[in-house]
Amino acid sequence: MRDYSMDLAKIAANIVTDVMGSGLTAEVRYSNDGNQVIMEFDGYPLWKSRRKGKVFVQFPRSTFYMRKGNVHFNALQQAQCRYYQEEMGKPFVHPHVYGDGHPCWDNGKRERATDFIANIVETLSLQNVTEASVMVGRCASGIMGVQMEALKNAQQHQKAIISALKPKAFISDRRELESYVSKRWCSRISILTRAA
Amino acid sequence: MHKNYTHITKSVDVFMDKSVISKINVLIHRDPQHECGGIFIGNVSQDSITGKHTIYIHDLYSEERLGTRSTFEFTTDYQMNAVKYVKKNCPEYHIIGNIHSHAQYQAFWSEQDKEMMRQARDNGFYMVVSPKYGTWTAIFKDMDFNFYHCDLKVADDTECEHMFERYVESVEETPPFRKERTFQTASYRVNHNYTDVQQREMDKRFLHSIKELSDKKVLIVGAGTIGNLLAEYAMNSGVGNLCIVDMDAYHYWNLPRSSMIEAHAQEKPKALELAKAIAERSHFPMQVTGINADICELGWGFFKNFDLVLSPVDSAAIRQYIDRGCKLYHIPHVTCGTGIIDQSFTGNIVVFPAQAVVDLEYVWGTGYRNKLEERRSCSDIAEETQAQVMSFSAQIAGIAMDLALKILREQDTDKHTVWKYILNAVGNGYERDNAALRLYKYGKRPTAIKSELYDVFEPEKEITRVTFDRSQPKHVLWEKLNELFGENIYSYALNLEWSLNIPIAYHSTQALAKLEVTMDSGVDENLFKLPDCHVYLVEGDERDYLIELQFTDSENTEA
Repeated sequence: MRDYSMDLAKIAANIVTDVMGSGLTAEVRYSNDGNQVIMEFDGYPLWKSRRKGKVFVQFPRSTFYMRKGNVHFNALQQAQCRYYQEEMGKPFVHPHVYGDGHPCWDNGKRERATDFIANIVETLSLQNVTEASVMVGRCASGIMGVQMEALKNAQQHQKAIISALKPKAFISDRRELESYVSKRWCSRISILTRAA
Repeated sequence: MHKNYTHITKSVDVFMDKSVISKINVLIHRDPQHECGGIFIGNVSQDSITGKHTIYIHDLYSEERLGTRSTFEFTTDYQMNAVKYVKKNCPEYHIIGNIHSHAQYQAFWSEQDKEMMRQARDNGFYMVVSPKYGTWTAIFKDMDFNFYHCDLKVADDTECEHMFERYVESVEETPPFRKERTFQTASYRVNHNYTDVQQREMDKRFLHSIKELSDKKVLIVGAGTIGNLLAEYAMNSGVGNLCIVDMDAYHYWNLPRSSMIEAHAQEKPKALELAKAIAERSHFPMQVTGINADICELGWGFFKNFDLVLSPVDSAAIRQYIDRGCKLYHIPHVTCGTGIIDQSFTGNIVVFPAQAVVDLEYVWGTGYRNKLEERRSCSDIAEETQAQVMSFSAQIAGIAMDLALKILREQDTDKHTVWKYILNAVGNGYERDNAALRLYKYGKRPTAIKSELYDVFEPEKEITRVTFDRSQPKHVLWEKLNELFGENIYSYALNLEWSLNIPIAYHSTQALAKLEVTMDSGVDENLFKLPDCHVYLVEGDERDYLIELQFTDSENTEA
């Protein structure tokens, strides 16, 4: 019996590493209780460190699933998603990730698989930290400071990420990012559904 | 003199005629607010070998005299009248003691009582009773001022528990959920024995006999303004078993509109205090239980215990939860509430019979999930005092209980049609016109409209029951589901959003909308957050299924 949820999660993780650059590798597994998918990205430059380490993205297993031959995506609440780094439970360093690891979604779309995958890319690359997001949206965590200090630190870390991982140039352009992700996603799931 | 009677070690046998018990009941309940007294007539004998005393109470002399709220005096003329009575009616017996009531207080020996007992150098049997609490205490004093415990028995072999017309006892109820769940509960049994004459008189004043609803079990979710009124009406209608569930406490701002509750209940759990108040005031035998809990945590399986569910709750999401559970188990449901529109009161009652063709989602329209963030309880909105809410709420509660009684008495011939009543308080409530009460009827299930419930639920089919021990790995549950459904897929998902597991699916953190049951999963601690018995939508690949999942955890399970 094929586990399509795992296949789809792996496709999504693959697209993230594809966009973020070959320096980042991904493994996907389930949580112990089987209810969550955990994408484990290795090779991520950690903030205020020369080391590279792991980043984890956790979300419900039912986010991606196959039913009657069709692929489905369940839009999730921000409370259902978690970003950790180095080890599970340690919150990812990002101005818009809370102390328990759940992200503060911006006002962007998140109804499609493309939106979710693009959000992961933008979060890992800190592209979603802007002047508006820190001044108007406020920071969920003060770990990088607040307001303009958070923006400054985020931009510094962005440079480190780009330098280390060499992601695709369009990650700063949401429309292009979505377009690329969407094409890759549709192509990969078509292969999967044909094989099903 | 044993001032506190705590060192008494010896006892005497006391036999009391049943007729004396009836006379005591009449005496103490004539005016329970004031003390009263009677004089015992009988005999005292003493075993010449063992020295043990035996007291026989043959009769009770009493007059329609009342004392104050805290004292009663056996005056000289009262005692002389008793002597005359004995001489005339039962010359072979003697005056052997007295009884008095403590009105609204517990039965105990006051200093005045003790002083009274010190005065008479004679064998004396004394009794004090509490009409409010149904408690009593008795003591025997011999001529040498030795005091004895009394083993009191009714002379014709009737059980002593029925000595008084009414008494209330706390009962240890086995709750319909696991003991590890720390819900506070309080359960009372009210015993009220009416004589045949009394019962015939009561029946004349009831459309139905006072015993007709004695075997009915009613659940009231919500102990707020309307919940208080509904509980009172159910109590006075002779409902035999009442359960009240609420997760909030009474505060100074909602006490004024809680008709059954007194000031001492402030800051105490609503369900427990309302159950206690019902027990104290009920005139009919009944059992009443209060559970301080979120109804969502008890599970839909909890509703199976009841003949009717009333939901005077102020949360749209909770009403939906209750309604769906009632639909799945074919339990009649009456829901009601009030609100303010354009500064005027409005209220609604919706009656769903056991085989209702539509559910609350249809009656109200979809979009209820958006209301999940709305107020969950009265305690969230402290500033709304709603001073005039009582009179309007009483109208809503009255209509709701009227309709509920019709169902309980099985007079509802149409078990499919749903009725919605909208009542508007017109102007200041003095004016009424045809628009004040509007009635809507839902007699057919619309086929063209999607229904979250009826798209998967087939009312004429029984829901499959699955039992599972949560201490076991989840793949055991997968095996059971796969055997039932035969889809041979990697994972079945329990849809907690469909199943309205609100505390878990919509938690602000660690929300869990679906719970995966896979062929290789281990023990899942999340299952312990779920209710003991609930109905779940199981998502397969080909289709969805409904199952009732009953957890049967082994004793050494950790919650």
